Amino acid sequence: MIVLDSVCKRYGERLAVDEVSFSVPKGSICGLIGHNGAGKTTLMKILSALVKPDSGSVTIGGMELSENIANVRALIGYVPQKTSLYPEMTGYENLSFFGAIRGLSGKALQESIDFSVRVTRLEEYLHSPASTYSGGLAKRLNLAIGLLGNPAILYLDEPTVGVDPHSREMILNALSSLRHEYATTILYTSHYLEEVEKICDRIIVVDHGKVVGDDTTANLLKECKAMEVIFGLLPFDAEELYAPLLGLEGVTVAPMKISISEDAIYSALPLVLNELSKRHVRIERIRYGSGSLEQFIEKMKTQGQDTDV
Amino acid sequence: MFRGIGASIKKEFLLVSRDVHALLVLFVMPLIFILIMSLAMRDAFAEKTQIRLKAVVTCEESTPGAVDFVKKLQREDGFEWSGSCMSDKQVSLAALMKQEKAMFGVSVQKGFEQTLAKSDPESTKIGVLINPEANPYMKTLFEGNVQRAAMEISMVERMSALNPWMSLQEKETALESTKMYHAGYLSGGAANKERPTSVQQSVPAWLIFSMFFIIIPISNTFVNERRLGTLSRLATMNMSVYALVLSKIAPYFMINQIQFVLMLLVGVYLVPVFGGDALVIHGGVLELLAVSSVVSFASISYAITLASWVRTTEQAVTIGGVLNIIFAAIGGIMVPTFVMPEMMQHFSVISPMSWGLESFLDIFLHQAPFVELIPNMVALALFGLILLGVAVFRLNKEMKEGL
Repeated sequence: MIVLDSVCKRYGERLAVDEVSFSVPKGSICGLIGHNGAGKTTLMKILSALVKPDSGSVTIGGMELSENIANVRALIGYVPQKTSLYPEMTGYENLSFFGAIRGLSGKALQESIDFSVRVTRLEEYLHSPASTYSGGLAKRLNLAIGLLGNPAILYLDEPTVGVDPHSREMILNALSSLRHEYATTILYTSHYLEEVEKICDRIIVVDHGKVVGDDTTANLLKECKAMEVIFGLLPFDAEELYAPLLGLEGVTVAPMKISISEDAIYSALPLVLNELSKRHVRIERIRYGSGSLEQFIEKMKTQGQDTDV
Repeated sequence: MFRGIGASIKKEFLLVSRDVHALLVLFVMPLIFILIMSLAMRDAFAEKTQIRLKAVVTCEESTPGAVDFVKKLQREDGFEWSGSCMSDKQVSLAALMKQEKAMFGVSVQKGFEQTLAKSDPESTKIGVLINPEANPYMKTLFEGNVQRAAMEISMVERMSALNPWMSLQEKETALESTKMYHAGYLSGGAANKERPTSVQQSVPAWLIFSMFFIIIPISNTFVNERRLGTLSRLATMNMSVYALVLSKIAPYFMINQIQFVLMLLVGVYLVPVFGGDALVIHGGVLELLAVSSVVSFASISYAITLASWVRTTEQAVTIGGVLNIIFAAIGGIMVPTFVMPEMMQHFSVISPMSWGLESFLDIFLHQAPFVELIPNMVALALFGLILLGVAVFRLNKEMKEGL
């Protein structure tokens, strides 16, 4: 459904997308993950024909994008990272306007609005001005606009950033149901591994504009299991705790959390627990699952280098 | 190419109708300006009151000649006279001028009638006193009026001496026949119509000013659309730059026309309620609509162009507001061009607001036919087309390079 072949995009001196090639099969949900500035949004803009690549080719729905921009755009629904709508207008007015821009009218428009509203569960808020929506509701409306016309391909650029857990759950459920009920092909950028793990069939990992990992979710994540030790606010400078741990292999620190990669659990976990105990830090939870994004990307890069060798 | 135009027009109306600040700028600001300026400038614009400075007359005799002389003086429209030959009280001219705060005074001294038929300047019985603060032009006008009244009285007296059988009516007719010129007015107009009244100046001036302030809502929506990524989203839905620009022109054109009708109604009906003159429109409706349309097109194109370049609403408000005020200041909106020095009058033609104002005034004052309005209308249309071209070029480039 979506095929990128050796796509490059440069902004001045910076190479934002570097020889990227991947494909997304029809009816699958593909997660595009990477740090901020990794090139995810540029890839989304290239796929939406908002940005022209410097080289390479993009084929969507069997059509070469550069030669069929209008036809390709008719296939896609784009949900940008920002809540791109009119806050002064109600949810319904926004949907009605964007639906008309998509070329819908009359009964088809109304049905499409009903569909988008049902999937995103916006019924209750439909006639309130979007400016009164919470962050989560606004993101749901943002998604609902992208669903107008029930597009065959849906691009979502970090749709859950800044969203409350309830709305996040709703958005993820909506995407799963779209895939199951309508075989919608979804390309989804995120830097939340747990989200990607939950809904994506496939993960593409991007770092500094390059693809460093591309496989099924199960295959990729099984390599990246980790243990997370979660604690509360520290009554002292966090650097005191982190300093002795920073050099340990497989250990990454974050505010109120220390992650240990699966292969380092036996060696590093006792040391981590010892450091926490010495400083009387109360552990709230220990979780075993997918590791941090940092660990995941590091792992992908290391594997890539090993493969190169 | 133009898909969704209807929805876009509706959307722009919704956005403007919910933007209180835009509504204030577009409708309340010009209404207040029209009211204030029409009332404040009423006397400065009205020809009859503009030069009605106070003048007094004292008489030491009440002979028919003296009475007739004073009557002729008082028929002059430019001065507000007090004193007469019928007064019993004899006061000095200087005292009366001080008492009445008059700028000019005329005294008719004893023996006035006896000296009328003589042409000896030494024997004149007319005295003139002028306040040193008086405007030199008004002084010349006043002296000319006194001289004319005295000449007419003197002529009548001389005619009486030569033809004692002539009636007063015949003498007046003979006097009128000595007039050696015929006065007319340009463009088939009538007296007092060459210069606008304060309301005739204020209504089109502040209407044009407010039409150009369409830049505030246009740039606000445009900047927000760009900031929130809505323009990108519209692009992914196959909305073209042409449709985008057209969807801005159409609703704001309608809003401009609503402003036009409302401000005319304010001039015709509301200004008189507050004691001002009612707006009198001599020209044709079609000519008015044509001028209003090109002014609107020019102002919207200018607004879209600026909105396509600025990045923040602050930039739009500051740059747009300042440019509008400069256009207004030099274009005769804030200060009518006819009171400007000649150099500034020449300079005012660089302001597109002046092209619109001149066209409206040509219609209001001269009932100018369509053909006479063409040069200014073409200038406004070209101004709009060039700017629109710049905006479309800019937006196309932006779309191609990535929003």
